[in-house]
Amino acid sequence: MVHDDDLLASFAGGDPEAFVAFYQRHLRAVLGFFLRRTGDPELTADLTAEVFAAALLAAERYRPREQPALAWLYGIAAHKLADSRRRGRVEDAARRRLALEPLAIDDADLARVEEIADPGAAEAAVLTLPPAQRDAVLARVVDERPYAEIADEMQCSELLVRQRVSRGLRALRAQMKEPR
Amino acid sequence: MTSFFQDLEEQLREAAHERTSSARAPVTPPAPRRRRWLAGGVRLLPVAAAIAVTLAVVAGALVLLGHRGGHAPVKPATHAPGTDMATIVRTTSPSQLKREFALMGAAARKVQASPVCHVAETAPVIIRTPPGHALLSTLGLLRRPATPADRLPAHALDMAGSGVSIYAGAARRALLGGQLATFIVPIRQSPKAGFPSDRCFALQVAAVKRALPSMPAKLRAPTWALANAFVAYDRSLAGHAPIDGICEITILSHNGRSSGCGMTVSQIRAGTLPEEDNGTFSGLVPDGVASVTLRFAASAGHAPRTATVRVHDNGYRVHVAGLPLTRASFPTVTWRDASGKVLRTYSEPPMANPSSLKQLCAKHPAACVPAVLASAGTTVHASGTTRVAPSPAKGGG
Repeated sequence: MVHDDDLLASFAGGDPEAFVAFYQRHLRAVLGFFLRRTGDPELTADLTAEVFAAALLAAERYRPREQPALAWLYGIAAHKLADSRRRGRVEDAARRRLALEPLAIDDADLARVEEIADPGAAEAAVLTLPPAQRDAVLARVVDERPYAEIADEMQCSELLVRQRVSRGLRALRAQMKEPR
Repeated sequence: MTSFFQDLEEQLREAAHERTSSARAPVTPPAPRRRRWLAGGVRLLPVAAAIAVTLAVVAGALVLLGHRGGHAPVKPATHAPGTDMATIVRTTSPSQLKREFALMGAAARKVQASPVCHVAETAPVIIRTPPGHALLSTLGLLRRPATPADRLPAHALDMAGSGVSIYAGAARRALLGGQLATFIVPIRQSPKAGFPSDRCFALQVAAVKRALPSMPAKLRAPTWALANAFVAYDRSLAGHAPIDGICEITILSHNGRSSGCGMTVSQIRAGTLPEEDNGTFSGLVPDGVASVTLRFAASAGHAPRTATVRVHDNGYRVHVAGLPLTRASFPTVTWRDASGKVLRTYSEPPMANPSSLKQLCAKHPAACVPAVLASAGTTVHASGTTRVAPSPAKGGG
């Protein structure tokens, strides 16, 4: 299995099919992410399209860091959802920038969204972590809160939080079969 | 996978090929995008809404329209020639509007795809003059001297969109919080940039006229009236004067950034819903607001929560732990001045009853039209996804 980081690096290096593979690999997870939060298949499909368009635009600048690429994708998804809630409509900036045509979605598609959406493979994996690691990973990777703030809340040192995040992510990578 | 996902994959593949091939090309002009007939009014919703009504009201209308079952048709419509768009949408049932839009869209599809209807995506333009008084007098943050920390990261405004001009040197960094930095960037939005040429509109109207004989007899006249009204509506939006607003750009910790452009002075003054990101709420407030209280109602096993945060640089950011993950509603927001006096309390508009839509349309046609268009089924959502079939009524997102 090709590593996510390698797929994104290949795309940045000129292989368009690498991004398609990245899309195919994570479509269900992103659908699940949105369906779980919105309960609305139509909105889920719409947001998912925007997230992958935004990911395509950002992928060229993606640099592997401490978190899995899926967390990077979830970060984009979380912000698209937040933007859309605040504005009362789904943003389409990335799709417009890519000149993507509007997509038709019918009732069969909507039913399919619910059928194929993964209710949160990554999130479920997070829940299997020891509580301290789980809380640290969620606070840092999903909420994007600063280490100092998390340390303050957990009443421990920043170094310890970093350690918990690092170990948690390492465990997640192992679970998600992302060799590193 | 079904057609939506196949289509999405195919579009992404095509876009990925274009991106990778253009990356190898020495110079590539911005890609033109094809303009869809119905996208204009909805895409420019922020501009239209800024003129007529606050974002909160529009959001409420869209939520309401998610429940289209509750929107009773007033009467079978036979729009007279020259009927304006607001009247048409106010007096036509959603199902009939949907059929008319479908006929109109089918008739004009070829023209929409032709080069004459391409709308070039342009890069933001830099303005050397300072932002207007209305904006500067609303956000003290923008009046303070610039510092090196206010310098925008490279490519921060890549996704600002067409028709956006940026006031050079006027961006200010706000809402400092750990590794997250939010920049408030004054902009000027020109509605005209998002619309195709007059010739494109004329050709689409002509195409609808040619297709009239093949349409069901009962729908010919109203579809013809709708086509003309829609063009007039789009042109009226394009004719609005440029208006000052802001872009909020948050630099994320994973190489990315989140940006939202288009919030206007009137929206900031009226109070916008906070941005929510996994329990962290942030927002922008006008001068004079010293603290913000967010009050969350009790829901499904979760006790009510209240969080108060001091305002810094016209912004606030607070994490509220323990909220339900799938919470659908936003908190009630209360602004207070430095003495603790309540300046304003507002919340997400409640799920309205059908009469609210009528009131909205009666008072604010500019907000009513895109809201009804969004409910008409065949229209293009602001997001660019087209619905082609009805589904059970749901609340909006």
